[in-house]
Amino acid sequence: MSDAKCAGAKLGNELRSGYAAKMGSTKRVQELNGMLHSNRPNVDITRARAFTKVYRETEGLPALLRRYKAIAEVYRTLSDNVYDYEQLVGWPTKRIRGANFAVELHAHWMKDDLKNLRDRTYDPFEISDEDYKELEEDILPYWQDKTAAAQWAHYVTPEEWDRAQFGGVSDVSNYICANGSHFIPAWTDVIKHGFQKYYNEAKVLLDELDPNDPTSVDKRYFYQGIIEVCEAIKNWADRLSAACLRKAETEKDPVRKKELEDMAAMMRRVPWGPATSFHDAVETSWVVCFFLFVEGAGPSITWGRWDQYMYPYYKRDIEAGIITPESAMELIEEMYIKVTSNVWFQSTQMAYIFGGYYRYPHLDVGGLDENGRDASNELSYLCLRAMRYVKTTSPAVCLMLHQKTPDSLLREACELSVDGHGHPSFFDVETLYKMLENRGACANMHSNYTSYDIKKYGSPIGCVEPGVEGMQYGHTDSGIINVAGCIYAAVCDGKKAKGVDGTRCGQVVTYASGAPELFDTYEKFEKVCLDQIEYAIKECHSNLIIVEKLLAEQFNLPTFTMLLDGALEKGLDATNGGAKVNIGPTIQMSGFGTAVDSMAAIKKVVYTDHEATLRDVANAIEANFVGYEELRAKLIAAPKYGNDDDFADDIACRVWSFFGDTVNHLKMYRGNYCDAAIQMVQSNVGYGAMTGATPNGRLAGQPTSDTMSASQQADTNGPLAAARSYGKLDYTKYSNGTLLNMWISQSEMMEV
Amino acid sequence: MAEKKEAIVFDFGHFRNTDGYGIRTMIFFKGCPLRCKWCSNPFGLSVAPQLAVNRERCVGCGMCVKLCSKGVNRINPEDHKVEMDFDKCKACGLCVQLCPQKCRQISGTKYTAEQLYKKVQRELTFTRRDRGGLTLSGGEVLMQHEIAAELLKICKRDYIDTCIETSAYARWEHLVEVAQYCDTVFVDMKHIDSDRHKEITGIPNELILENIRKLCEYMSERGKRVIIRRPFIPGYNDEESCTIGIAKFVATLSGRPEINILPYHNLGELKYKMIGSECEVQGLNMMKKKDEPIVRCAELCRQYAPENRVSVGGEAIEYPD
Repeated sequence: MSDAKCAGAKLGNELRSGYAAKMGSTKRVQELNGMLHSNRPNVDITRARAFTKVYRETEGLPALLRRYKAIAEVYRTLSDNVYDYEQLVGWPTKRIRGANFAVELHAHWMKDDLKNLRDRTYDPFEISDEDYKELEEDILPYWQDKTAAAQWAHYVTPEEWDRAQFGGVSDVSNYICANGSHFIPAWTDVIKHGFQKYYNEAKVLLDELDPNDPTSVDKRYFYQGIIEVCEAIKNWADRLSAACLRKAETEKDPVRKKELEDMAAMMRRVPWGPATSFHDAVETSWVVCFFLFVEGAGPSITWGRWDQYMYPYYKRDIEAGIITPESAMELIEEMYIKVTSNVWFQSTQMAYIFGGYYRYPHLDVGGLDENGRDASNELSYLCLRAMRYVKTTSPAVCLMLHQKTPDSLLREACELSVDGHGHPSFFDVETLYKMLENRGACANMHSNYTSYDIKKYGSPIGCVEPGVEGMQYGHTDSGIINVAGCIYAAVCDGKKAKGVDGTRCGQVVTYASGAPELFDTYEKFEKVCLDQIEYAIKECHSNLIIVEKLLAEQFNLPTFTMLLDGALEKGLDATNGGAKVNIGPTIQMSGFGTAVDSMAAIKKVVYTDHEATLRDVANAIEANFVGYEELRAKLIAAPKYGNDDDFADDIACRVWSFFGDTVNHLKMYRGNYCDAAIQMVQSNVGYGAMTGATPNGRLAGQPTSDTMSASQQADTNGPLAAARSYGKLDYTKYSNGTLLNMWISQSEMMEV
Repeated sequence: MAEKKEAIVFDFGHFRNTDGYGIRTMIFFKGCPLRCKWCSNPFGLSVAPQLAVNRERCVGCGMCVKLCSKGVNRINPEDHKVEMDFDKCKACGLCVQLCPQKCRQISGTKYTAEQLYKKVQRELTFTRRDRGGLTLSGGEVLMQHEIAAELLKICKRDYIDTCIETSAYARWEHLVEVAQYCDTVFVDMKHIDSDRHKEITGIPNELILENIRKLCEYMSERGKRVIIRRPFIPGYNDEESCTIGIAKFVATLSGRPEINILPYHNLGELKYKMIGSECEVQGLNMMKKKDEPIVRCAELCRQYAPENRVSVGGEAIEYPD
């Protein structure tokens, strides 16, 4: 054991030295990767400082304009660091692996918790003493009562606030600190034209405004703001160009000197203007990605179908002999390294649930074209291969799989999969298209997407949410319903267990649904389980629409807005309905397998075999099974979801559909309907810690089942039986995506 | 009406990949006429259903002690784990369900051919596109030749790829009754010398060799395959003379069957304890494909059976399109 610990510590130190992380296909990539990993996650206060300055200076201005001016100030003050070995220019922060965090969403918790930030258990952050002091004395006092969460408190009771933040059953704590996330910008457009297009468009639209049109009042400062943000982006690019030149002046190596001069020239072209080469296009795709990560506070800025919109540039440069596949892959690897540098800054509570700094950037390859033909090209292969060399956690590389996927591409993806880093994800595009057809629409209705939109631009957003490039805006991992907690509440009259994590332990956490004696048939018991779930969903929804209103009024996103098709013409910010298809905030399910197994165990032991009463089960789980070992054994022996056993799988299907339909009937603030999802990757650990013992035999505080997978060690009949169970569920009801994890041991791998 | 014939099965394997092409469902038939000293599947030896207990997982809760009226179980006060008196056990299976640690199973359940087919059929979603299918193993499947043939016949109706694994120790009529429905037959050659064969497996090998010769003719006439398996057990059949003898013999067979060398593994050792018996071959290390004796064995096979493909490990077998 101690040996293993030493080995772990040794590896940790090696990683920190950057030595062990020197992975990549070329020396240049290896050095950059080493540089990335020799930095610890750290806090950058550039954005917070810019926001504070602008907000102090603009008291009384329209909320949207203040916001746009603040973002412009952020771009004007972003770092202009250029490092050795780089070919792509620009970093979101002064130090690598920094977080330019959104003070206007985080200040309320930071005022109390800043002192723990450096040593908290999950996701600690480094911060310099000067920055710490400035935050503590100047910035946080200004913002602490102005964040979205702080304002939301005015709309709900303290109890509701507490339940939604720390109760662990119906949760919106993720959503409320992650405005600006889950987005596929109009990549094709921005790479082709650059930001000057939006600048010119805003100027024309501003000129054309009719002052006697009542809607022009808001639009005027909307366009003024967009123009200022565009100018700030131009300013940033010019500063970076100058920085490259400065570095070139002192560079002794003539080859590198030329590279730096070329990079300086590139920064005068993009992202302001059109990309003229593959290198330019990769630069734009990196810059826009990190702009959005700085402007928005949330995760999952997505590259979408990168191999599609980049291919014309790649093909042209290959044919012209300007690049080789190897040099193109080197750029892709550098892009992977840079995007991994974007760490996710979260509240202590959220780090507990989503720990790991991971910010879910996402890149899709493969898929179909608008005519339904296989769309894969050389870049699809390079994107997968690059990940095999560089081995970074980001981006999540994804293969959009279909009947026509070439075997060689599938093989390339499987080879990457066997490396064991969790890449790539596999998406069945036919199911994805069905989800998009229903996106944001009420149950069984059609979304605003055309079939062309979906086929040409549709792809998953990291983690798994269906989206369409440049047409969709909305927060997609918003409310979380811990259904395992709902089942506990159904058995125990609405209560949360004593002695677990979070608040409200031993108190009602949803609603009092009645003593266990009331449920004399299984049907009655199942109904109360579903009622508890419905209650949690509705409570969550009521919180989401309040926050959505606050965000639309005060927390606008100019860069997101520019990168939405048609938003400038409409004159509406992304948060206020500028997108063609508005979605979210959505509602997710967590602990599905645990909930289903618990219901199946009760059906078997209480209502089929009559070996115990529901009261016995309630007593047992309240006691964390101490003194109830025999009953626990019986509950464990009951049929479990994930074994192709209809006794449990039928319950799974009903819970699944009920959740999807209930969520799908709720209307959101921007007029769209709510989408259901099941995708919370590691949140089962955090929610498990907040959940008492469950009737499937799981002990209090243990992780619940993850994503939509079977409970841990419950699928004992092999991966094929598990896959058959998963195949019974109706995925189209979850138009915000579903995520399944399957673990397959190495001995089960086949050489093909 | 005649009673439906039932198979006695002691295990199923799902998602297997070493005994036939692609994803295989394995059915292990119970009962074997051989007593190979290294047998890795001791549950397959006796025909009668029996209780198997994994003592390693026992937490000494005593549930089984309370439950069993035959007095099979007691808790050992030294390590607080269950001790079994297997002679008293009637394999009623009551204790299996209630064991909270799931330490127990009844090895040996009866199924009709249709019931077994249903289990195979469920996997078709995954197997039909890449020629995966069903492999019957054991024990010795030929001890239950009638029901095995019935099951394979149903499978062939559905174009399912079928294999059996056998020692070929059976009457020729029984072997052919089953083999007629097989795409591939895996057959073991445990030793080339009959006396030594008897010492290490309990039976001589004349019948086996004759059956293998006939089987290879029979299968190659039909365009089907035989794969000769050569388990490599240090101290029992690892002599070079044995390898050479096997290779020379295989070289004379019809259809140029592939020789598939199986390095010794000790994964079966714990299973003996679970049914209250003991493995004679003990303390041998698990062998790897690259171990020198294995490499040498493969070299010799290639030398003395130059026309036959030689592979090491089930996953290395070549399946032509």
